[in-house]
Amino acid sequence: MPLDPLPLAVAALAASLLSAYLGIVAWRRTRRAVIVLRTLLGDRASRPARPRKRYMVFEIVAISGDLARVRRADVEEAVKRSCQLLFGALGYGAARPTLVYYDESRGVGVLSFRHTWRNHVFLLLSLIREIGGVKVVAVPTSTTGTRRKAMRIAEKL
Amino acid sequence: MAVDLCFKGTVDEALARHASRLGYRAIAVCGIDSFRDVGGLRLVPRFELARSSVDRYRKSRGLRVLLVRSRDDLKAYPKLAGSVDSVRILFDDLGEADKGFWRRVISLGAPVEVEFSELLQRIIDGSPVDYYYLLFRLYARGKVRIYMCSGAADASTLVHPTAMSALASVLGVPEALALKAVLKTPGELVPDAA
Repeated sequence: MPLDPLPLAVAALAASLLSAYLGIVAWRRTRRAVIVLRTLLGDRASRPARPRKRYMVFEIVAISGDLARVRRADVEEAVKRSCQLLFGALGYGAARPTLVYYDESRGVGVLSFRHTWRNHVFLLLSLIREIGGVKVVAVPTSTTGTRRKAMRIAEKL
Repeated sequence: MAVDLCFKGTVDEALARHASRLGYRAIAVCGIDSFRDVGGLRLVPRFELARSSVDRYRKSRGLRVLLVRSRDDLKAYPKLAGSVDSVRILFDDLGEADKGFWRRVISLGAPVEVEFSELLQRIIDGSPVDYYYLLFRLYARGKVRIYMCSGAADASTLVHPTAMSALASVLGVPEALALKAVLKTPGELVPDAA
């Protein structure tokens, strides 16, 4: 007597769906176990990313006084002082804000720093109120990942 | 374009130009009764209200900020609905804020004003900022709404909007929420400023 193919097909489909489900569950469990194991062993993939440099283009706007009196060394000193005031020596060492370019005639500069400290650098620029006896405001314009792009933006400003 | 809802000085053409350059389209100032335009910058009237004077300003147009100096200022808070646009908590006057106080702040539903210059000064002075941390934590959990304002008195203290969101981010607020507190919420509070 021939067997009815429909119940067989349904049973086969159910069995395949069940096996697929069990396979997915097992794969997820294994993956989680691997992640936990890697974290415990201090695997390379779970370590924090290598700090990269970011370049912030900013503009010094003179509120009162002559912008030409604002020297590059004064800007460097102001950045350093603000950073140390807000984040201390440790924060300054970790952020490493460095003035890579400053045009004294236009008041446009480029500041490099570690990428994880972007917000901190925005904040320290807001603290700069006076440089070399001139009341100023530091206005961040844009942030880039390469020095060349930052210089291009600074030259266009 | 951002809106600064707490400017403490006088606004002239030079300041309006400077504010526009920083990216502000409107500034809220005390001492004016109606909306004005100065050098392309919209001025929004700001009313700082004690609890006793809330009813007098019920129909005023502009930003009505309730100054909370004591826990009693938020008693019977449902009566404040529609009468105030935001709340400014003066933590120095307030003293200790218990759970009941924070429950009232949450239930009131009005956004809480955080002044950038005051908070930064507290950090620099080494004063406690525990209540600010609590406020930011409540904000990150979606319990309260906050907005940040500069609290500037002149052009040299007016800060870039990004600096305000950066301060919130540094203090633990997720970046998207920090930007919302600076760029979106203030604009929603004064739709006439557009």
